[in-house]
Amino acid sequence: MVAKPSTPTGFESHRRRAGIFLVSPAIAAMMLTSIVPLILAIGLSFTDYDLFSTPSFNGLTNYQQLFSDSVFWQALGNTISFAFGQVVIGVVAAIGVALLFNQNLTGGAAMRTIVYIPQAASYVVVALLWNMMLDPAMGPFSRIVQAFGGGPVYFLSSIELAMPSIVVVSLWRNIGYFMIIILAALKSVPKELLEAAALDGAGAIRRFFYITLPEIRSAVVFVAITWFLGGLQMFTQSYVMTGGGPINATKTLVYIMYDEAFSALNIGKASAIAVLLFGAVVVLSVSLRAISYLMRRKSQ
Amino acid sequence: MSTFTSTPFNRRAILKMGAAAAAVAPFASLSGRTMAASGEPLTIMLLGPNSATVDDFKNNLLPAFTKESGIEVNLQTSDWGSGFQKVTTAAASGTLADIVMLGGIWTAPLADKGALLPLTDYLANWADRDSFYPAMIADGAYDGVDYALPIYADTRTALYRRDILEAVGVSESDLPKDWDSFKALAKTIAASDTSAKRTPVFWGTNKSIGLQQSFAQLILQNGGTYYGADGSAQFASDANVEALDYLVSFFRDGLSDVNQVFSGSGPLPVVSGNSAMTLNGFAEIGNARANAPDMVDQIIAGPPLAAKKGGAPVSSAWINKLGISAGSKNPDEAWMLLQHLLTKNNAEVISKDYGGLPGRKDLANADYLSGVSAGFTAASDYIVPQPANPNMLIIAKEINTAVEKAVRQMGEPAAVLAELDAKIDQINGR
Repeated sequence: MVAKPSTPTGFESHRRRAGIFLVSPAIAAMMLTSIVPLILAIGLSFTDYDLFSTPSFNGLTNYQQLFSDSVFWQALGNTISFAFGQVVIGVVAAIGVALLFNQNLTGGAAMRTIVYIPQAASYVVVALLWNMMLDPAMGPFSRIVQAFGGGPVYFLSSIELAMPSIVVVSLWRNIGYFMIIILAALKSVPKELLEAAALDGAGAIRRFFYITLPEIRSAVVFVAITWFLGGLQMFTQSYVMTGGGPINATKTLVYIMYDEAFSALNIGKASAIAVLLFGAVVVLSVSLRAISYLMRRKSQ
Repeated sequence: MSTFTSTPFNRRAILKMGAAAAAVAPFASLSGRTMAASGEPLTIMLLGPNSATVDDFKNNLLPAFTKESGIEVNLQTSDWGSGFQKVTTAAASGTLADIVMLGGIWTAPLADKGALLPLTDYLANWADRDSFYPAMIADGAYDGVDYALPIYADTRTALYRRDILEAVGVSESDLPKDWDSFKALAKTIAASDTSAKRTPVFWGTNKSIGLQQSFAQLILQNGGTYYGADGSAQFASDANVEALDYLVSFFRDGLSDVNQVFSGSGPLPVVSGNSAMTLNGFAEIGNARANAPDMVDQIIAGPPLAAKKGGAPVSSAWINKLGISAGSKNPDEAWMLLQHLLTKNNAEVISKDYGGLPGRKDLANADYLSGVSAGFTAASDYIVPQPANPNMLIIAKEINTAVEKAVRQMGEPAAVLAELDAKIDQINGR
């Protein structure tokens, strides 16, 4: 016999209404700040609009122009290589640093704070700081190379070095935050499992790959996804440190979106870039979550 | 990164309409218009002012205007980096200040969108017009209509380090006057044992459009132009290809370095002595004052170059201007304020505070210019304005990228400029 779903009592109904009432400001705020702008951007992406005149529908023209523009494809490549490079190196480095801080080192708390501090600084401040650090004439890195007989190192004006330099700066700024998340996951790994494995003769590397890593996998996946999606929106570092150069080598999708909107006053085309970026973020998020889910099921 | 402040000053009670009308009456006769004081305060938006500029505006220039006219003025400031964005969004939303500062190539983009008030009627009766360099007035026009007036300028000419020139036996009277002699001097410095021997010439490469600004001078010196009579891009013309080939030859011959990029802070290469020659303006002196005051009198401004020996010298200028918002509720009062700021004394204060050259000819010997090379102001007589285009902000970036490709030997000048023509025609919707 199947139990008949009970109808909400007066008290429950009242609670539900109160719940809806309490979350309605948050829903309204989200609608106003996220959903409405998103719908507007999608709509504007099919128009010719320059801020001053009434938007006029132009179909897929903005998208066609983007797809036939070599700078768009270059910016897309730059964006992906930045996000991918940052995540691959960053996740490995964050796990390494977190493992180190998980060892109850003397002064560990102070070191954790030091690693986390850059996260508190804005990207503009970080970019200006590293601008000086990477200066070919005055910067310490270039000077060290020159002290050993090398020439000046053009970190930000070399086509080959500009994007890797920005990746390093972004890693320096973000690693503390993601390290803390992984460190929290490491703290929750059952000690008895590690001790049992050690008694069975498993070395540190095997313990890490067969016990620690599977236990912190959710945190690592979260860090990787969050970091990657954040990387797709990189703008400030490139704007401040290289101006998108040399020869568009550090121009990202958000950068060309800004240029289209506020230099060319081509709001329709800028909206098209925003919509494409949003679509890519949605597809990637869903795919990565699906992969993560399948992996979890497989391991169970 | 940016600041956007509204600073009310002289917080007096709102003046009665009658008093304001009486106060503005003398100005009305100047403009030849009927003045109708709205009683509302005016607003003025400055871009990139330093503290001295803000102080002078708040404590001297604007209070003097208020005292004279009875009209209050609110001061807004913004950084240059986000200035165009703020001006355009404010104009589109109808909240732009009555008087707004414009960057060198902003007139056409804003006038084309209807954001600026035509000044033709006002200028017709403006006695001070002839006191300004004609080319600087022309730079504020678009499609034959005047929209903005010069407040200070950065006139570009050939600059040199005096001490390095002396070290290679070149005196101030022997400075280059044409492209060949300019390059010959660069080769002499390269063969010397001076600090500039590795990169004698700095072409202004920076994270913005520095290369484009140097290339623009060369184009104008060689009699080139940006657009043909039908409006199509003409960058691949013989004159422009020759100009780019000349520029590229410095990098190819080891006289300039593609990696010498000014980061925006610290001394410029000529100030630091890593280079001895550049095509820049009075901003070089400002950079020296900030980073190496001893170098101020070592920087000399030579005559503007001509492409060929005996040819006409040409300089270019980045002229910052003041215009009146098309949406101003007080256009006549705004014009009164504009006139007030452009008087000889006030224009001198503003040019000095901003570290620029004056837009007025009668300030060529202003006190604040004593001690700096006379060549800076002399170059203002040879200004040829850049062609105005509504899409110039994005076009300038495209030109910069194209020139950078050429100097990095990633394409022949003719091919790079042909590609640039196609890109610019696309931007201009041709």
